[in-house]
Amino acid sequence: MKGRQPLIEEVEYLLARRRLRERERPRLVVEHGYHNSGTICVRGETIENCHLRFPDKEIPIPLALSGLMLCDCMARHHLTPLSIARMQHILTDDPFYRHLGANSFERAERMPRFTRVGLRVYVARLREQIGKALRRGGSMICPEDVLTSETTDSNVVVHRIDLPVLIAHRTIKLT
Amino acid sequence: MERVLIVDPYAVHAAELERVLESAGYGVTVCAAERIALDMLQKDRSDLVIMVPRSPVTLGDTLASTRAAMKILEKQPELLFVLRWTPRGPVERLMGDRWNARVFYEG
Repeated sequence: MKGRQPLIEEVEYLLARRRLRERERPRLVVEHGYHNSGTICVRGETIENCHLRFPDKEIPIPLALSGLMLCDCMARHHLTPLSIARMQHILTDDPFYRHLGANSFERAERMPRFTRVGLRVYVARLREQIGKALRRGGSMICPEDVLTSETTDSNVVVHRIDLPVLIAHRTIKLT
Repeated sequence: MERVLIVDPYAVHAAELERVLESAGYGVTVCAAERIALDMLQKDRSDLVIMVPRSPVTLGDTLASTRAAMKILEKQPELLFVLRWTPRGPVERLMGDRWNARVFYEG
């Protein structure tokens, strides 16, 4: 099997790299607040924070409201690569984002306005912040491998978060 | 056990590679037709997919269609394209980079 040895070594390298990446790969957690029990991700909830959950620690991803909303949107659609246009549509028209924080008594921040030009910047900033959180967590995964961007067959660039995702909810009782 | 899906139109080569990988401790599935393999990809939880394209002409399409089939998978397998022709410059490796696939020439 000498002739096949280089190919076998390539296979072993790829699978070993995959195992290593999986050990280093955290979960992206998005925490929603002001959640009514019995519901999941409905209008009125807040987006409290986003963080990376490693086996032994949690590392916050520091984001302004616009970044939190984008991260939440990409996390909820993490199986579907999204174009900038699609993200804009979701962030503008989805009732969850239009009524974000309506259950909270502290809604003081103005809702951001999402333009396509702005969203491209937010995607880049989100990738950068995720990269910093990965380093703080001790992971050597490239942020480009976590927030991926690729060109489709119709030359549209689509973006996707390639991490396991968890949307966690903090329940409150509204009487 | 890690699982490998081999998509190779040449049965003799595929069987030989299957035997070697199984003796190395991997679970192996072999498929001759790309179209069937793309369906299997969506059901089978492979850790690595080894694609052997028939010719340089179909390489780009095969890369694109394999990635498209994998898009809905929660856990994406590694992709290894085994090319059984002489390299003709860096174009094919660059194509692999674009589609996040490893390109390997087997003489």
